[in-house]
Amino acid sequence: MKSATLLIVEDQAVIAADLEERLLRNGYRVCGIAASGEEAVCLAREHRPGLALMDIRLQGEMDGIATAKVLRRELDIPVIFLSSHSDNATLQRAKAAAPYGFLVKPFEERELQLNIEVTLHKHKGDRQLAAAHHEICRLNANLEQGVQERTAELEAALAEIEGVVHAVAHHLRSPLRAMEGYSHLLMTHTSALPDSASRFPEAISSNARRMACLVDDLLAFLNIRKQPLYPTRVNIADEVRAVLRELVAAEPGRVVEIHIDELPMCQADPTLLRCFLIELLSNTLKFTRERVPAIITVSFRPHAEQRNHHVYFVRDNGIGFDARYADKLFKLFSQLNRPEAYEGTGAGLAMALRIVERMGGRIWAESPPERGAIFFFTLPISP
Amino acid sequence: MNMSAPDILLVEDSQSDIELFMFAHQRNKSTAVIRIVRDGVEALDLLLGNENRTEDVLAILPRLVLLDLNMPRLTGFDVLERLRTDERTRRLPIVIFSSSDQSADKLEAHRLGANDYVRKPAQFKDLCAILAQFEHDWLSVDVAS
Repeated sequence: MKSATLLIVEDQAVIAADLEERLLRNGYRVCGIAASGEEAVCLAREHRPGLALMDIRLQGEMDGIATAKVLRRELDIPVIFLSSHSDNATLQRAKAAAPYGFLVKPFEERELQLNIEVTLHKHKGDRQLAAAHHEICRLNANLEQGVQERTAELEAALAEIEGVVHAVAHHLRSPLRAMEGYSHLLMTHTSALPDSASRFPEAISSNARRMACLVDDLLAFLNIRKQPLYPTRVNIADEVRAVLRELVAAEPGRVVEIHIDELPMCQADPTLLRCFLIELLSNTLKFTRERVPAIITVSFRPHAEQRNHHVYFVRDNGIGFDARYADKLFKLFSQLNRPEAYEGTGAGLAMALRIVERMGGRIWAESPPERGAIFFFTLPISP
Repeated sequence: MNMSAPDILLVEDSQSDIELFMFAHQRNKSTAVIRIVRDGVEALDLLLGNENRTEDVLAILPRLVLLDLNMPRLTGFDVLERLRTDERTRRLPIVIFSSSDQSADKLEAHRLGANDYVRKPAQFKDLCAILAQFEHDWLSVDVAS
């Protein structure tokens, strides 16, 4: 422990010699005595002492404080200042060099020894801490890189799976077309079939048509991920109005009362937003079709947690849904009603979910008993 | 080989699609002369021939080519590109008739100079309607003039 090597930086030779003697007497080794900062740095580079005892006033350009900073920063050598100046200004300047001790001359030999021992011990601890910190940073960086690599791998795997699903779905189209076509042609020959089988061609044909719809919806669903995003400032109220006008026009005879509040602008890709609104609002129109009039209200409220998002909502007076199955609403091809009750494959809300998530938003639904459904969705506020 | 010019050249590899196309043709009571080739190589052989019989080519050009995309050997895009770079077929009406509704395919067809892109319908009755539309759009007037 006492074999530590020390560097003395002191421009008064008498004091330096006295200090060296005291150190040697206490069992330390002294690697050199420097009278100037420049000399101290040279000696320190050469001998790498475990500690420097540093006067503040030195010969040459660098004073003790400047020298101490170089020793700390460049060589990680701890410094104890030995100075006859203990005024506040000097102390403040000395603090900037982060010394391990500050002894005011004259000092006791025991006091010096204790300071040296504490410094050596504390510096050792600091070194271990720095090493540990460095190791943590390294591990963190590794972890971060690992996560990134893993994420990239998973994304690649997902893209591959979706690619396979896409190819399979696409290749089903041709045989489905054949099934539909031939069973359609067979319908002209039903008189040649036994009565019990006469409805089979139509059954085959309608199932082929349904499967073709499923394939189309699956492909459309998969395509959302590939669609490029060009977000811009969009007047969502205008978009809602336009989509509802078109959807209602496509169902002549429907009585629909539409209330669209003033809605704040959002940041969204106009094409995807339009697809989203078509899916969401056609769902609303579908499940209000027994109501005369169907009442659809579109409004918004501020987002409680995410300040940079708006919450928009669409409220209707339709059949609503059983809250117990709310999580199934947004699943691909899941339907809460009997398939023959409402047309479609159950892809609309799954598409809506995927689109709104791509645009950085969320969607969820509530159905107060006997009071229709409310679909909430969030979109980023336009900057 | 019948060398008189057909009205429609259908370039299609699927036997079922060909048969259903001909049933639709029959159902429509269409009088258009249909000629069928089973892939891109056959299509180019028929339309461009080889260097030795170029003089025949203009006489046998159809008034409309319906071109499938996914075919063995040369794809529909390969065929389209070749036909558009040949002076004799640069203006030949070519409609892509494919199962794909991918926008990338539509864009590529447009880029290579297809006159139109029509998705193959899932239902036979739509096939009948589309065939009638093809005849109306491309065969009813003298498009070439």
